[in-house]
Amino acid sequence: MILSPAERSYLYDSLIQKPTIRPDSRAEHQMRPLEAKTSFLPGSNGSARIRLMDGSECIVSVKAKVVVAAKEANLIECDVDVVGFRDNSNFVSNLKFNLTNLLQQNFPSDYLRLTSKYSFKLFIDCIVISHSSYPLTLISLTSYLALKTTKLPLLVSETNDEEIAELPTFSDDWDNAKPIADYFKGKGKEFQPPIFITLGYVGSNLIFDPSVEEEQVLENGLIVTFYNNKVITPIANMNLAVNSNNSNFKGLNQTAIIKSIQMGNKFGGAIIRALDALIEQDDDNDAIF
Amino acid sequence: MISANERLFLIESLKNGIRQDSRKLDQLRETHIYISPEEYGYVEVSWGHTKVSVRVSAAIDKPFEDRPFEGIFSINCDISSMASQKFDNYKVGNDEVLIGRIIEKAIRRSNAVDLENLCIVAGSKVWKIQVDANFLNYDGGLIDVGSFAVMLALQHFKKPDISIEDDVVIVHDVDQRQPVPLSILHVPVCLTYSFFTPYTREQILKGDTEEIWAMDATMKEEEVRDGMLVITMNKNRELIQLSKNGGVPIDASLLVELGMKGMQEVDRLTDMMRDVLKKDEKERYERGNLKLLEVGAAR
Amino acid sequence: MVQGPMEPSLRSQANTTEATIEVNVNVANFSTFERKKRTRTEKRIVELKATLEKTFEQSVMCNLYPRTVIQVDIHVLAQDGGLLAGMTNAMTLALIDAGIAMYDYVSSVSAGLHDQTPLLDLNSLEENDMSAITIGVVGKSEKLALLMLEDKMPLDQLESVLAIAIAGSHRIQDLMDTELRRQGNIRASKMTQS
Repeated sequence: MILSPAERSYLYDSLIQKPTIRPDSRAEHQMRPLEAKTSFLPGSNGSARIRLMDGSECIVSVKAKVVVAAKEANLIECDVDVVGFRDNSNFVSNLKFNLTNLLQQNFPSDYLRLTSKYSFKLFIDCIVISHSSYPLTLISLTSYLALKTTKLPLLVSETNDEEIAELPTFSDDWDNAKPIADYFKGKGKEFQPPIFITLGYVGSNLIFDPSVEEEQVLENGLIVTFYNNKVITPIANMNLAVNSNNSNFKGLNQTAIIKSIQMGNKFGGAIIRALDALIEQDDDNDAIF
Repeated sequence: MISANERLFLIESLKNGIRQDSRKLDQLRETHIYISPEEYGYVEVSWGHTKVSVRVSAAIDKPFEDRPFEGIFSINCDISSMASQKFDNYKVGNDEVLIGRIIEKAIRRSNAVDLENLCIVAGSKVWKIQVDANFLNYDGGLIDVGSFAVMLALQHFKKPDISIEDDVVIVHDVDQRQPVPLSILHVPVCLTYSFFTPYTREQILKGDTEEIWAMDATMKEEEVRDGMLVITMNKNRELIQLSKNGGVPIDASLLVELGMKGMQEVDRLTDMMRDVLKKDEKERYERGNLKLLEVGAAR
Repeated sequence: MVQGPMEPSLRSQANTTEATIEVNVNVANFSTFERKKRTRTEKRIVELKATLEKTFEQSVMCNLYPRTVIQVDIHVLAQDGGLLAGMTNAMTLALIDAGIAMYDYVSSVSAGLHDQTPLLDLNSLEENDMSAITIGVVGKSEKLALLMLEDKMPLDQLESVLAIAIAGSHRIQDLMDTELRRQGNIRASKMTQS
C-alpha cells in the first residue's frame, strides 16, 4: 500500500521519536508475529512455511541429492521464486544472490560429505507466495527452519569407498534418518544456519523488520547477517521500499552501522531461540496450518 | 467476431438440426486430398474451406541420451495469419498451443510411429522425423483436419534406404533403391464435437436440458459454440485421447454415445486414407514402370 | 491464492459483460521425486492453465463481476498423480473461500483402467503404466465439465471407468462440503465471540 504525503509525514514523525513509536506498537527490536509449520512436504528432505500476520507467506523446500563431490563447485544451490516477478528480474535475482551467497559462504559444507567420493548436495527452493515488505528476512527465516528440520537418510555402506565403484547405499527406514544437526554434533559443533535481519534506519533509530508502511519513510535500510550467535559480514544497506520512491532516503551514518551490529548481537540470539522453540512446538498433525 | 443476430440465428437453426451448409449434425465436410506425385510425405488436405499442408522430412541425428534406441519424432504445427486474422504471426496464442498439443498427444504420445524402428546405430545415429503442418486456410476443425493430414503424410512418407558397412552408414538415393516406409503402429483419428446451448447457465446446471452437438464445426459455428470435445480413436476401438477443456458440461451417457457413434467415422476416415494411399502407390508403380524391376519380369 | 475481482491491469483485458478468470500455474522445482527446473511457458503447463480457465469460466457466476479479473495462483508443491484433479479441487475450494459466487462445486478425480478393473485416483507410479482419465463433475449431476484422457483405453470400457470416476467425484464433493462448512462454523463462532 502506498502512503499519502500526510500519512508519510505522520509515520515519519512517530518513528523518529525517542523511543520510537511504531504503528503496530512493536518495540524497535521486535519482529512481526508469525506462524510456521515444518516438515510438511512428503517429497522433500526438509520443508518449512512461514506466514506473517500481514498475509506474507513463504515456502522453502530442501532436497538432497547424492553427487560426486569432486565434480561440484558448490554443495548448496538456492533458487528463489516470487509470485508476480519474472525469474530473471532484478528483484528476484538480488534475493537469490543474497541467499545463495550467504549459505555458500557460511555453511560448512564439509559436513555434507558422505564418503571419500560422494557427498550430499542440498537444493534449497524458496517460493514467496505473497509479500508486502522486502521478503529477504522472511525467506531466510523460512530457510532456517527448513534446514534445521532437514533429515538425511542414514548411510549404511562404507565411508571409505576410494576403491569401490558402487554408489553409496542408505538405510531404507526413514525413521533412521538423522537431521543435519546430528551430523554436526558428531563433529562437536552446533548446527545453526545463518539468517538475515533487515533493519530500518530512521531519525537515529534502528527498527527491526520494518513493515511495508515503515519501509516507505525509512532513511536507509540495513541487512545484517547473524550466524553462530554473532553478527557477521555481509552487512549491506539498500532501499527496502522497492516499489515506491522513497523521498526520505539518504546516506548512512557510520554510527548506525555500529549500532546495527550491537543490536544484532543483542537480539539475534532471541530470534534464533524463538525459531528453535517453534520447531519444538510444531506438532505432527497433518494440517498445513 | 459475429453479430448477436447471427449468433441467435445459427443457434436457433442448429436447434432444429439445420446447418448453414446443409449438412447433417453428424456429417463431416467433404474431403479433398492432394498427394505430391514427385516426392514422399507431402500432402494437402482440405475439409470444406479448411486447408492444411503437411510435409514430413527425415534426417540422421544423434538420439537423446536417455533414449539411445529410439528415433526422434516431432510434430510442428504452425498456424500463421495466412489461415485467419485470428492467429498472430508473432505471438503464440493459447488456442494455437492447445491445437498443437492435442494433435501431438493424439499422434506422438500414443506411439503412432514406431520409434525403435528409427534407430540406425544405438546411441549415435537415429532417424529424426520432423512433421511440419501448415494451416493454409481456417474454417473450423483445425484439430480434425490437422491430425488427419499428419497421419496421411506419415503413412505416405518413405525414408531413403540405408545400409551399414564397417560402421559407415550409407544412405542410398531414392532413385537407386526403393525407399522404405515408416512403421506405423496404429492410425489415430481426431473428431471434434462442438456443443451449443440456447439455455442459460442456470438452466443447464439444473439439468434436464439437451445439449445440441455437431461434428466438424465451421468457423462460424466455432465462434458461437459453448464447448467442445475432442475424441481421438483408432480402428481397434481404442480411445486414445479425450479432451474437454471446460465449456458447457455434458452428460456422461452422451459422451459414451458420441464415442460409439464416432467409431463409424473413424472407420470411414481410416479406410479413406488407405484407399487414397493405395491409389497413389498404384499410380507411382505404373508411372515408374516398376513392374520391370520385379523378380521374374520379362525383360 | 485467489485475487480479485479486481481492476484489470490493462484496460483492453476487460470484458464488459463478464469477469475474466486468469489462472497462473506454478509447478515447484521440488514437486517431483527428481528435482527439475520448469518454465512457465512449458506446453503442458500452458495446457493445464487453459483447461482450468475454461472450466471455471462456466461454473463461476462471471456475469456478476463485469470488467474485472479474478486471478488465481496455483502452486504445486508436491505431486504424486492426479495433478489436474488436485488443482481443480483446490481451485474450487479457494474460489468458494474467497467468497466468489459459483453455481456449484466442480469436483474432480482421476481414474484408470488396469486390465479390466477400473481404479480410482492413481498415484504417479500407477499413472505411468496405465491409462488414466481425469474428469470434473459439476455439482451432484452426471455432467462433465472437464475431461482429459491421454493414453489408450478401450472404448467399450469407458462407461465403467466413467461410472466409478463420477461416484468418486461426488464423494470428493461431499468431503469438500463438510470441510467448508466446518471452516465456516469456526469463522462464524469467532465472529460472534468478538
